[in-house]
Amino acid sequence: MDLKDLTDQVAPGGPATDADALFDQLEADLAREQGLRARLRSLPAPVRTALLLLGAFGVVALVALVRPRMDLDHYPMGRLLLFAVLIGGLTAFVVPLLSRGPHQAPPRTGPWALGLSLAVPVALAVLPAAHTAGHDLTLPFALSALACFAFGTVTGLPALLLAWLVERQDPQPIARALLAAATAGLVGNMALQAHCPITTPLHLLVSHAVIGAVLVALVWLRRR
Amino acid sequence: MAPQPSDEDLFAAYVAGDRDAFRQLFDRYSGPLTRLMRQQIRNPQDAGELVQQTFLQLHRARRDFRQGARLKPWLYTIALNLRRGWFRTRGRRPETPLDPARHPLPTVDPVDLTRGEDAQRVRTALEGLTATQREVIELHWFEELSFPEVAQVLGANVNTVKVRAHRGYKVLRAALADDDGQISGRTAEGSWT
Repeated sequence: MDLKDLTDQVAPGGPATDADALFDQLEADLAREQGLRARLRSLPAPVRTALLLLGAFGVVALVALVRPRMDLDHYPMGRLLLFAVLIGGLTAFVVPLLSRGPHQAPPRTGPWALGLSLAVPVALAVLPAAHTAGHDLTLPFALSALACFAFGTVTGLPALLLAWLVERQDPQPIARALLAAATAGLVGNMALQAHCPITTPLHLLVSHAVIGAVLVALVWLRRR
Repeated sequence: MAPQPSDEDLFAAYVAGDRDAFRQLFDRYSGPLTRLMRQQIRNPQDAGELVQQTFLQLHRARRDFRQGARLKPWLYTIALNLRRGWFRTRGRRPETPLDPARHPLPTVDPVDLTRGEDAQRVRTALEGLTATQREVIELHWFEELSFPEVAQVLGANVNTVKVRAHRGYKVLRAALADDDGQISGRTAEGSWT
């Protein structure tokens, strides 16, 4: 028996029977490829990665310039460096995964990236307080927690929006949508680290570290 | 007769603005991609939509294509990613290969009863493969990609792909061997040794 000879019987490889109709639909799709989003998602992967990184770190830099934390005199540089290396490094690791297209095999590191993006902020939040000076005692705990959560979420949202804008698939694959939400959480955490002078672990846990988890949960609920 | 332009030449021409080159690529690959989709998706409309999406994604990725790369593995990577995504979004498992009696494949002409029976034996044999083995066999045997290209498409190590192919072909050989135990064609021998 010649297996090669059987190939065409099992699954013939000639032109699709409705090729003309399919191509007409494809041409209609191509004609709709207009506007900002079409241009952004057709950019090469390295350019889209650079855009995402610029968006993520740009927001943090802006916050650091416009609304810097007031306790830098007391804050240990080692802790700041640890945060920058871990959260910044994680962001730099995750962002290229967001700009992958379907012409690339799915990354095996995706689940790890998502897990680490949610776990590392929590791990950093529960470290002993970096210092006890500079706590914002003028606001009740709940209010300051809510304010920080809102600030972090708002500063993280541009990353989420940008990830959607450069996404090539419609709808965005769920794995990438969740990773984008986790990335927004990382950006929000970095922005808060640049701005918020409160160092108590409970505050950091309930208002900084959970941003990514909340955004991931919201995206998951919306997409399931 | 002038030689056919390569896939890469056609794609380069399309990126440079030649829309007809895209149509030629479509004509060249719409059939094989439809076959790839319909091996696991029974509904021809769904399969056709995924083929259409594959070319749309090819268009969106056009600026990522690098000179010297091969287009075919690229196209199949897109197609398989879309097919996996299709199952994922529907929370469904791949469907079993088509029953030719109920779902005739496009452009098949029944040649004779014996050949039809052979094809049915192959389908049944393919059902005996694991999903990962079937994916490798689909690409290596049906689509004639080399092992490094199959590895590229699946994002797997070449040796892993060869092991999956070896095991898959072994299952197929056992299921398809003639009475004298002989089969030929693009099987493991000569292809992966």
